[in-house]
Amino acid sequence: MNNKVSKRKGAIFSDLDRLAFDHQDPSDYMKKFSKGVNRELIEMISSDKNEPIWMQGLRLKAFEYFKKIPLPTWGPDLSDLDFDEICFFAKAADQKGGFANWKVVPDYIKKTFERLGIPEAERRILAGVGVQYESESIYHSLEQEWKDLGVIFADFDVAVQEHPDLVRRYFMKCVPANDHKFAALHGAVWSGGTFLYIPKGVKLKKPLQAYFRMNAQNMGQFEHTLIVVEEGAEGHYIEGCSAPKYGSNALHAGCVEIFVKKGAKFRYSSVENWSKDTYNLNTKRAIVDEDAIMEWVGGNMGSGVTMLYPCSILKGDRSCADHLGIAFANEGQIQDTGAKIFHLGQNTSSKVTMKSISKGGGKSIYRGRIHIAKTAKKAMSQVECDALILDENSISETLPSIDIQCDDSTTNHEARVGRLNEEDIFYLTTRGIPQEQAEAMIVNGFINPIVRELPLEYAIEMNRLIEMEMEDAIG
Amino acid sequence: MSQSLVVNAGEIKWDTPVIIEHSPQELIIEIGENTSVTFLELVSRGQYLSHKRILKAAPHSKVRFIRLQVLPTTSELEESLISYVEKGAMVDCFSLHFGGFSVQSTIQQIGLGAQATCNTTLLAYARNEQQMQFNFSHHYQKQKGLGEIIAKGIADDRAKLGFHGIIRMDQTASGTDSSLKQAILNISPDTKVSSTPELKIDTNDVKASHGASIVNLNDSDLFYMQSRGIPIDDLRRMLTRGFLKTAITPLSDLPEVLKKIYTFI
Repeated sequence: MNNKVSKRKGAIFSDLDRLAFDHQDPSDYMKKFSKGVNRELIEMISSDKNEPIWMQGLRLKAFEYFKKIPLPTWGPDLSDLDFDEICFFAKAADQKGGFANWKVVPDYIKKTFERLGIPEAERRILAGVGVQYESESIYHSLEQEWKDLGVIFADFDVAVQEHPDLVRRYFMKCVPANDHKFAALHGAVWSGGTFLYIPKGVKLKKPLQAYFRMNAQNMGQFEHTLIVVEEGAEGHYIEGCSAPKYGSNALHAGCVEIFVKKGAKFRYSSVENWSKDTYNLNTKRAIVDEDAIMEWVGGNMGSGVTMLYPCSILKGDRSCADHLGIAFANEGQIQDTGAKIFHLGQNTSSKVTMKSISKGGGKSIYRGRIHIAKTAKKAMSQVECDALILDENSISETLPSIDIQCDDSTTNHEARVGRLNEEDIFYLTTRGIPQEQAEAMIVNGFINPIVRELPLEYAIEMNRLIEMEMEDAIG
Repeated sequence: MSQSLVVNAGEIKWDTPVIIEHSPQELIIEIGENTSVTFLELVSRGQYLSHKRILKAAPHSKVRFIRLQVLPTTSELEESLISYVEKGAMVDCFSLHFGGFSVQSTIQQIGLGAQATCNTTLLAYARNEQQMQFNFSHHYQKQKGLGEIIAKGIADDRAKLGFHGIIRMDQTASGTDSSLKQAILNISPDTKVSSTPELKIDTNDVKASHGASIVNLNDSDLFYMQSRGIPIDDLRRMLTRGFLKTAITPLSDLPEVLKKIYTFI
């Protein structure tokens, strides 16, 4: 069914092709920026942004943590990641706060986002959009009706200037800079990103989207996303990202912090499609207050190495988290993804549904953690992981960890690993469907329970990405 | 002190277990081709124990290894069992723990040959201040392996109980079918329980699954039976015993052994 939908005439992302993602714009601007990270660079970033002194202080403190904290000793090998070869800050267009509208965005950047369907999505289905190119935001918009209700959707650099009290109250309170090495790096060199504030009781009817694009070789992107959903409010935010492939390392170490207040509901969807040169070492975390709901929907298609484990801290009584994810590991890729949930409040509940596909020697890993604290009376948690391995060279691992300190709780974990069912393929091929298409259909059906949680246009994008990964036959 | 035990090819000792006495520190058991043999080891004495058991199951042999641990609640035990399962052989390992203050147990079954069958059943009842950590794995190296791991535990009082299970299938293990089930009944608010079931699969033509659950006694069951006049303490005892007993039904052909295990449950 999704296959059919993806071919629908007029769907925004139905014609996405490799060129849209792999296209390289000229990057002459890179001559002005050096590689590597040091104190001078951090002071330069802070000065360039004309930041308040407290923010510069946080950056420098985070840099001290970064120097002290070692690389993770678990998970994929990161020893090839050379920090001296990464450019941590670069601007393609020197326009503080981004451009006022698409018309004045430099042509080559505008075309890149048009290929990716972003301006069209803004016109047709979104309440607002933000786009980032290299280290800074290029454009941010929000429909007037939401501005009138007090919603703030801004470039994070702008938010630091215009809403310093709000930013200071929440910035890196959910993910502290000493959490791990890449949180520390992020705290030191963050640039750009999104600030979303939904006031009490406001229910956004349409999603907001942010798109992050790296263009130059050896680029690093460190956008900060801070979302505050006040009491009883609701919203849906979609994140997309991509980069062209150069054959040398790029690094993405963004940070997403979400505060979901009492009775609020928030969904964070992401379709990650970084180039296979990229180390995607992103941190995403939400603190969920009483009676609030946090939903994560994620598709990890790109990157050479991904380490991404969205985390929900169920702090309030009766709070709830739902994690849905797809990971596709193709040739040369390691998709180390999962979910972490900390149950602290009473009657909290969580559900994790993960689907992974490994192909062409790719390795997909589910790494999860469920922690039920002594205070989390009557907590419930359910985890389901399904993995498809499409050929004999590919690898799947399922590594969940469950810690329980409360007797009055229920936790279930289930995982299955297998291959495509030959009877299903046989059935479809005897009805005239070519084998490759039959296999792609079954894979689309496998991931459908997750894809259908995305708005239709983004479900189409996800299916299109899967189709592209499935091209060149299954082994 | 190391001892070895050899069962010659063709011997059948399935219904009458070979008793392993005096619990040597290290024991190597070699089982010949086409044999069927059951071993029973009762570990009931000692303060600080370190046991190592190595089982080598030759092609087409059939082995059942039952280890019943009922040490005093002050004892410390560190034990490991490694079994090498050759082509067409089957090893059923039952590891049953009721005693000891501190228990660290590792069970590794390695399917070296094609069509190797590895089954592991682990039961643990951790009470008072007992600390029990169990690591168990099946590693299939050749095609068409078969087997399951069933681990069941009860955590009561202030006990600590941890299960860490792994099923690993190599690229050469096509056609293998194996599952891992971990279940813990957590019946006290002061316990600490952890469960980590892992799958590491390096090829596609296999079936692998795992499941883990950590629950308390079901409120509806308790209410139903209490309303029929069964006192709550008896009820808890009945339900916990029932939970453990279901895992050892494969030993029903050994009534004497089963009776002994029931005594400790």
